[in-house]
Amino acid sequence: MVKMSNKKVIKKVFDEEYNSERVKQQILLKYERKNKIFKIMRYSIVPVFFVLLSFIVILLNNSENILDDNIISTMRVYAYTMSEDDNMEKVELRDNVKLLLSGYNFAMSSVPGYPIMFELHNVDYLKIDVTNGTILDWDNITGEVNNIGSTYKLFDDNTLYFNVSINTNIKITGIKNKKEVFEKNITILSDDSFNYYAVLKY
Amino acid sequence: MIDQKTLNMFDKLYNETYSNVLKYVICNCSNVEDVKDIVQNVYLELLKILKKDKLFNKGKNYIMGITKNKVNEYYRFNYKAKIVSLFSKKDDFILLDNISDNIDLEDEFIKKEDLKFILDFLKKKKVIIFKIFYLYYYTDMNIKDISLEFNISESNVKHYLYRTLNELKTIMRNGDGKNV
Repeated sequence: MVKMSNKKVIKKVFDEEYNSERVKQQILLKYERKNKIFKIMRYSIVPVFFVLLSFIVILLNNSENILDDNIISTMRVYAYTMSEDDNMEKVELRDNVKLLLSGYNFAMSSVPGYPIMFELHNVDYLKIDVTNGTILDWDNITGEVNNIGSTYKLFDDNTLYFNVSINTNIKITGIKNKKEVFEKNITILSDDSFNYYAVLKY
Repeated sequence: MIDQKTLNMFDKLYNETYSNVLKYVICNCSNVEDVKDIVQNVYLELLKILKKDKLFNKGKNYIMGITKNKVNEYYRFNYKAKIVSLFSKKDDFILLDNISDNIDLEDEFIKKEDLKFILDFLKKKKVIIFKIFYLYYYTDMNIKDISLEFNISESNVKHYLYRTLNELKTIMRNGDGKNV
């Protein structure tokens, strides 16, 4: 037979491991902890839901912005030149292409300056700065002409009139979401015969 | 928070059933490390029931039913082997009925850390050894009943008891134990 002393020792071993009171305290503690977690979850589910919802809305908005931003911001610029049959012709001003402008004194005597038409694509507005020249605002119904200086913000497609001289430079900056998205320059050149040309450059 | 009435009822049921629940779980688990988890699950379930049903009047059998379910559930959800067949090969060991009983662990193990050492030693043994030790020393079950519980011969039960005690003693005397 196994001695009683062994029994006592082994009993102690199991008593230590499976002590009824200690196990009970562990159970109650676990129960309280589980309850606390459940309560936290229950009370936090509404704010968490709203935070998630806001996050999703922001994400959706951002994705729209990203989509929007991915459309290249640009503009189109049209100037007026004389066609072969001496009619005034609206021609798109392309990068680095020298365009002979129509003679102001003859065909365009009805307008106050050189007209340049701007079309905005995916930009909030165009900021126009002129050096060696001025921008003119002309009301073609009343015929009233206003000198609006050398800086102008153009928010919609429109035609502006420019009082130009040799080496007039028109700087056009495209603004989108308060950021500059492109910058181009129209330089007015003149030859010996006082023919004016316009060149669009970066 | 648990209200006092629920707590009192829980205390009463816990004290009445703990030893039986523990015994059932130990006898039916496949890993002794799972015992505490399963026992906790049983009484957490009981607390949940008591909180809902203030007029709870079911007895010990009901709690044993919960215990049975929790053991099955534990092994089902934890993808662990259910109850392992303990003796697939009966000739795995040599019967040593006449093993010496001159083993006195108390002389060797008296400190708390030594008790932990014995527990760890038993846990590392075959799960049947842990169970036999628990039933024989802790619940005072006799060798015959243990042999019936696990469907093994009495000689096998004795063999496990004596051989393991002997092994323990040897380990301690050879200096493998903490206390030596």
